[in-house]
Amino acid sequence: MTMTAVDMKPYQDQTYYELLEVPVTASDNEIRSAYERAEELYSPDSVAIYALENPAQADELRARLREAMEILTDADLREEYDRMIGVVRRKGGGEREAEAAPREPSAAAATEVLATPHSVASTHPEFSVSYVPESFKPEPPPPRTGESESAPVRDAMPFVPPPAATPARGIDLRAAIAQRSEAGRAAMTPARGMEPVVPAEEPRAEVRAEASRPAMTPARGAEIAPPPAPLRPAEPARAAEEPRADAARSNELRQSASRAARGLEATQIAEESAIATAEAAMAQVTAKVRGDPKQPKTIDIPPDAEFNGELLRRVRESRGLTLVQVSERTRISRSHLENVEADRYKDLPAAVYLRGILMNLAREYGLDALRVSKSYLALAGKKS
Amino acid sequence: MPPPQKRLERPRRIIAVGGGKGGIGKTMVSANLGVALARRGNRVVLVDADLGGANLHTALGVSPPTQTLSDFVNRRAARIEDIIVPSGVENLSLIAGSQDVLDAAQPKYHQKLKLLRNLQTLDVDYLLLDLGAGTSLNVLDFFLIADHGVLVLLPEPTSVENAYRFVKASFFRRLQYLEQQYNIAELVEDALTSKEGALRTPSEFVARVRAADAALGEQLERELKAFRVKLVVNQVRTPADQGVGDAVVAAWRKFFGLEMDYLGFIRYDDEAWRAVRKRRPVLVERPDCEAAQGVVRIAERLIAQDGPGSSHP
Repeated sequence: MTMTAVDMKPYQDQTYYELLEVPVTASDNEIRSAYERAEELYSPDSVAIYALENPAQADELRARLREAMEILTDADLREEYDRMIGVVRRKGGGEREAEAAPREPSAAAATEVLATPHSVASTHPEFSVSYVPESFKPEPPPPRTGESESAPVRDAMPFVPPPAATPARGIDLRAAIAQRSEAGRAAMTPARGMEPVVPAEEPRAEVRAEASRPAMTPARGAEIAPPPAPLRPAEPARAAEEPRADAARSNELRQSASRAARGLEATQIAEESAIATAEAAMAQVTAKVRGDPKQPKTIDIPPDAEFNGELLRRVRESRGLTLVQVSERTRISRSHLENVEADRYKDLPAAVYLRGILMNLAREYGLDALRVSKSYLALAGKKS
Repeated sequence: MPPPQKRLERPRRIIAVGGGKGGIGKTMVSANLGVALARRGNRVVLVDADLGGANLHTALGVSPPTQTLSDFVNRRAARIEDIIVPSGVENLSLIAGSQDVLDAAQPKYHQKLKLLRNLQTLDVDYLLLDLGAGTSLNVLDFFLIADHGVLVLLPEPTSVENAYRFVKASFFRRLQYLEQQYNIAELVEDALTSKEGALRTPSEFVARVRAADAALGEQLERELKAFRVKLVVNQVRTPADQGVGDAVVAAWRKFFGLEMDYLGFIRYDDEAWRAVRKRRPVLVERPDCEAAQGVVRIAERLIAQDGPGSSHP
């Protein structure tokens, strides 16, 4: 690898590909074996790991590696992720032919700005600012074909992923669970579009084939808020139909990223869009990976619930889990868990890490990881 | 050693062998690496820079030398060449460590500078510095003048922990050099202290400097990236031990965003232990044993890194 300026970056700033140290063209098998290697390399009992960083960071690295593997081995999610970081793939003959449209560094930088604007913006603003002007050299604006970001084009999109992107706001857990249990076609009802759950018992291929459909189904009549359309520049659009859509998309991404560098408002936009995209991805992953969500005992989580420590504690208790058990299963240290539940923001790690902890925790509880982390971090931001 | 007959046109190479912990085989690696390099036709001078616990002469089976570093430092010897003694191996000479009881481990600053400067003028192919344990500034400064900073570690938690400590300390020492060189003391100070009192990663630091001065940030990053420690894992018993080197390199990259080179490993070998007891380099005593072969591989890798022009004509 050449000694470019953006090379020198720790795992927090790496793309999924960089994390797993695979090329963007890597096959699923290559990704899985890279993950296995990494898992072994960074295992908790590795002599190389324990002394270098604190255990929480090592856990964070492992969580990110897993996340990278999960997302990259799911064709849909990977496609979406690639689009987000600006990797363009041409589909042909069933073979994955890929080219990194912008060179990797800028793709990586896009990730930096887009994927974690939250943490970046909140903990070290100058970090992102310092990178953006470099990585996002002025580029000619993409030819626009009439649509603007604020004009929702969803109805026309044949390929919008399920409003997965819609953070599952307003979903009553019980309703969601009930939905989940209706396997197969039942899931194709409009309401399903709102909840990106793929029933585990359904064969993958079938799901994939149908996956793009529900997205088209306007999410009417559901108890869910419409997706924040203006805030979704990262939404993959028309990829299937317009060969140039990908390029345009990444341009758009880059533009929104450089806007983010320019002003607070713009930062907000980029942030929201990144979150929306990430939320989509994560919600899907969560749904797919945990094919058998634990059946939670009844606990009412109102649509507008704020996920504070108290609520997280109640969720945990409703699952019949002790702190020790959760700590063992998630590898989040017990003191972090206690501090989370007690809302002791000052004793918690920086947002970058806290976010990972919260997402990890939410996944363990079968909750929407992004909703939980976003909500909790918002509270922490307000009160600390 | 005879006075040099001709000018060397290629750059000299300095190799420093360090590691945070004592008893991990730094001296064994230095001595045998010296033998391996000399056998490839390079003119090598081994320097016992373990200022407080010199014993390189013992590893080589040389009787306690009459002339040592302290003679030069204290001006009893005028020139650094005057304290070079033969090692018994062709092409390999020795500058023995100080036998003084007092003050030897803590040379005054100007003494250290003089020593470093003079060592760097020696007309040889390889200057090999055997460092002491710990992370004192004396150790770090010797480590940092080297072209190849070789870090020895054992596949054991204590050793790995100290190795990281050593690398981090060297890294920050290097940062201090750069700070003077670029006259950016304030910037460095600011970056090191402004966020929660500590720098988390080098890349974060570079980002801060770059925010203040883009060109400088880039230059600094280039300099910091040049800091590539070369790893040697000693006393390897199992395949898992062997993997420790890869894991340390990977972890260093993931958590610090910096590269290391894994030069190779040396097997745990009773022959090596016997050779130490006999006060002979294992490469001389049993060149065919596994430990000796490990050292030879490492020497070859170093030579390869220096390019084709570096072996003796």
